[in-house]
Formats: sequence, C-alpha cells, structure tokens
Amino acid sequence: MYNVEGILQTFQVYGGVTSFLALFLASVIYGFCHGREEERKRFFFLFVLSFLFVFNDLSMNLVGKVVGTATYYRFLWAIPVLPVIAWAGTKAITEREKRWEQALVLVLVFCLFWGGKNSFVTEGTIRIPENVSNVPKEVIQVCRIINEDKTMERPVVIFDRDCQMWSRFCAPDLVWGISRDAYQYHNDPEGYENAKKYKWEKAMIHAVNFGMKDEQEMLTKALEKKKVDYIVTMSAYQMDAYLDQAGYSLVDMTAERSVYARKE
Amino acid sequence: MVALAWCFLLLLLLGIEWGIFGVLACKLFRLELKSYETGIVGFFVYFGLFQVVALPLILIQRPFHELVWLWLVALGIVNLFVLFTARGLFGTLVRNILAGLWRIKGLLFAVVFLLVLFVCWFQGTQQYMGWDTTYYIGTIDTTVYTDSMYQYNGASGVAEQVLDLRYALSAFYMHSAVLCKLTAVSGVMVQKYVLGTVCILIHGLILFAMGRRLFPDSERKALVLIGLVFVMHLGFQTMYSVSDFLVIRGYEAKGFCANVIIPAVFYAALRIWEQSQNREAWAIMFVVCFSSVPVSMSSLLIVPAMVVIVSMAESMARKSWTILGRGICCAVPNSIYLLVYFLYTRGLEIFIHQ
Repeated sequence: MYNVEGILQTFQVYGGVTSFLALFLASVIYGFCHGREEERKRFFFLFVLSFLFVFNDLSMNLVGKVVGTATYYRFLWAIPVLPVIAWAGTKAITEREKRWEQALVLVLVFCLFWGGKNSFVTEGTIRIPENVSNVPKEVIQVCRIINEDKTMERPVVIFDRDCQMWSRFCAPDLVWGISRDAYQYHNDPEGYENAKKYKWEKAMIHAVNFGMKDEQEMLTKALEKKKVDYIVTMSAYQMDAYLDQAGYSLVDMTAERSVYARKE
Repeated sequence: MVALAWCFLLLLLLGIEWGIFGVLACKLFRLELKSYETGIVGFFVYFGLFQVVALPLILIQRPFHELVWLWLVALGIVNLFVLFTARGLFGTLVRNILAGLWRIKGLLFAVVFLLVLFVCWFQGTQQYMGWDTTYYIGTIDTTVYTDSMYQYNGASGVAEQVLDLRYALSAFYMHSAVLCKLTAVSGVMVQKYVLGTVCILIHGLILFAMGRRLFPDSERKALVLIGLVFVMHLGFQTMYSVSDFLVIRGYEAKGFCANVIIPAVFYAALRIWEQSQNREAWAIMFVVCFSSVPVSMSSLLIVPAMVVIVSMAESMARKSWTILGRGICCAVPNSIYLLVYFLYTRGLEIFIHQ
C-alpha cells in the first residue's frame, strides 16, 4: 500500500489529463537555468529535502498513521504549481517590448494555460441558483413539512441519500436515522452478508433509497430499533401501503417525495 | 434578500476588522508592513485570536452563546485599542490602499478584477454536495441550534460521547457559527457567500503580494500574475487540485489551507529568501503558522513540514543555522496541536457531559 507507485499515482490524480505538472517542471527548469547561484542552491536543497521529508514511502506511512493516508494528497498542495507557472508566464508576456508581441504571447499563454476539457466552466456549471440559499426547493419543502408536523424537538428521520445530505442545510433539528457510514459503505440493494452492525440501517436504505418492499419484518424492526419518527422517500416508489403496515402514514407530498410520520 | 444583504455587509465588516487587526499587530510588534501585508497579517491574527478565545470554551464544553459574547468583548477591546492608540496607522493603511488602487487603475486592473469577481460568483452558484460539506455546514447550524460546540455530530445531529478533536481543535466553523448567530443568516449562506468569497479574495491578495516580491519593478506584472493564476484555476479541475478547493469548495477549511495558508507560507518564504534576518518576514511566517490550525486542521502536518523544509534549505544555502532555529520556533504551535491530536488518536478522549 505504501510505495513509490502510490505517491506517483497521487501525482497523476492531482495532475489529471492537464499539462500543469509538465508546465510546472518546465518553469522550474527555466528558473533553475536562469537563476543566480544562490537561487540554484536553494532550488536544489528544496528539491532534495522535499523528497527526504515528504515524498517518500516512510513519510507516507507516518502521515497515514497520524492523519490517515486518504489525506496524503494534501501535501501536493505545498508544491506551488500555479504560482510558479504564472511567474514564468508573466515573464514571457511582459518581457516582450512591442504591444502586439505582448498580446500575441498573452493569447498563446492563455491557450496553453487553459485546461480545455478539465475546465470548471461548462454549459452545466454556469447557472443561476433557484433560490437565495442555493438549496434544492424540494428539500426545503420536505423539511418544512416535517417542521410543521412534528411534536418533538428533535425528530429522528430517514431519507433517501440526496435528501438526507441536503437536509442538514436547512434543518439542524432533524436527527439522521441512517448514518453517513451506512450510506457510504452499504448503499446497495444487495443482502446483509457484509453489513454487520449496519444491518438495520441497510434495511432502511433498501426501503427509502431503493424502494424495496420485500423486507417488511426487517424494516419494522429497524424502524423500532432506531426510533424513527419520519420517513422521506421518492413518491415514485409508491410506499404508502407498505409503510402503513410498518406503522407510518403519509403526512404530505412534494413534487418528487412523500413524507410519512409514525402513527400515534 | 435581507440575508444576502447581510452577507455583503459581513464581507465588508470582516475586511475592515482584518485591517484593524493588521494594524494592531503592526502597533504591538512594531512591524513595518506594506498595506497588502497588513491585510494578510490581519486575517491571520484575527483567526488566531478567535482560536485563543474559542478553544478553551470548546474544550471545557461551555454553551455557544458564551463564545459569542466573549468574542464581541474581545473585538470591542481590539477596536477600541486601535481607535485610541493607532488611529493614525489605520488612516494611513486606508489611504495607502486607496492610493494603490488609483495607481493600478486601467484596463488590466479592470480585467483582473472582473475575473476574480467572476470566480467569486461562480463559487457561490455551484451546488457541490459531499458528505464533508454536510458535516461542515451541519456543524455550523447545529452549533447555533443546540447552543453547544461539537457536542452533537454536525452531520447526523446525534449526540456525541466524546469531543471529536479532528474537528474540535480548530475553531474555524465556530467563527462562522458566531456570524450566523449575530445575523440570523443560515450556515450555508454565511459559509458559501461570505467565507467562500473571502477565500478567493485573500488568495488574490496573497498572489498580489507574491507578484510584488517577484516583480518589484511593476505592479502591473503582479496583476498579470493574478490573472494567469485565476485563468489556470478555472481550467484545473482534477480531484485533488487546489483549484477544486477554490472554485467549488472554497468555503471549506480545506480550501483555506490550499489557497490561503500554504500560499501565505510561500509568501513569507519569499521574503525570508530576500532577507533572511528580516524581522517582518519572520513575523509573517510565525503569524501564519500560529493561525494555520485555527483556520484549517489540514494544516496540522503540512505547514510545519513546509516551514522546516524551507528554513532548512535556506540554512544550507546560506550556511546559517539560526535560520533553521527560527523555522523550528515557527513550527512549535502546530507541533503542540499535533501532539494533542496524536494522543487523541491513541486513546486520549474528552468525554462530553450533557
């Protein structure tokens, strides 16, 4: 797990299919070749010490033990990729004497620097939020329905995955009945062989996130065990009768979702 | 729309506060900083002081409203202190900023300014959603709702048994919660519109400072540098890139680590490379290190590693070991956090008494 390949892979994921890492290397070599002797020494020592202290097997292992290997990629942020490329680019643009030369180099540099298909700016990302808080209207409505219906201060709610994640943005009073770990590692319609301590949560995921209706007993037990007050699921699953048998009745609906409450 | 107006007002007020805190640092430590450096230092001193106020209250599990009041008192004291003892310095700072803006006016400035504004707008309109996002925003709203700090899981709302020091050692999100409490604006709006914009603007300011050091002969070259970096940011969409944590997730503490703290360490290193004995350069480095964990827990290991490598390389290049000694001093605050965090991962737990 901890090997040079792992570090190289991290670099590859960081750079993606962009040319930024190559441009960075070219800029460093340019700086090294054109720098004063003192600057060259500094470059050299920085390069050697970075590999000695950070970018090696042992450090990756140590970092993994303290903060987890999943966060090792953040050490790549310490390489000033964009500022160094921009420094070389600024020199290339501003060292031209004539305006048209500057403009030409500027256009060339922009073309070179633009990430192309790795751009954030696409047709889908230029958007006007549907409301001022930029939270889906659907989720706001679901939270409002629960808020108007609830009789307890902090009701336990199970949602389909998307609605669960967004719900925290508009309703801090709701308590999740399905944990993040359960959704992250057991969000599938498969059986319970590997679910272990998450088996009750998985039963609820089956119902609210996949609309499965063949686990009545298991679901009823899970809902009792987790003391669930409200269930939010997609209306398209048509769960009214199924959840009624589990002791939950329909409170209200939004365009896409149905909200059920535990019967008194 | 009132909430949106509050967000704009908060941006303006925070900017003024960072100027005031920068002046405070200059006054107390007799630093001679450029106006853009004063702003950067002010940002870090502000969050450093917030941490000093907030962390003890988090660890002894006091109610959140006590932090709000204590922070208001601390802010009042700092503002009054600067008003009575360093009014002139603050006036000079404002005049220098306005004069600087007037000096660099023109087409290039307008283009770069609009580009930065576009990135701010773009960041605010994105609907990225991940489990981490849920946790961070949830932490802010849960803090305000329950009047407690880190006693409930930010994402699920479930009561915690022990303080999760992975998050509780940094008071960054508690600061956002204070803003929410004072303005009654939701956590998602404060974080996305206010802190997300702050991340981009401070990033731009640090790039400008870097540009001024790399091209001391021309402010316009510094503007070109900012422009190029921001163009690259818009085209650098990969899973781990710093740009992803600026353009999409700039409001997360991780975004501040990648785009504010680490570039600030580089800026301090640039100054140290110019003059290794310069007091101001080392003061900037220390302040950035001191406030790195308060702004983002991701800095816990990265910042001390960077500082030690930078100062060791400089020591070797100049054959002066005092430089390494200073670097190690700068890494001390993070080392303390690291030790506490390491003990936490080895079983040191603070139980929550509710």
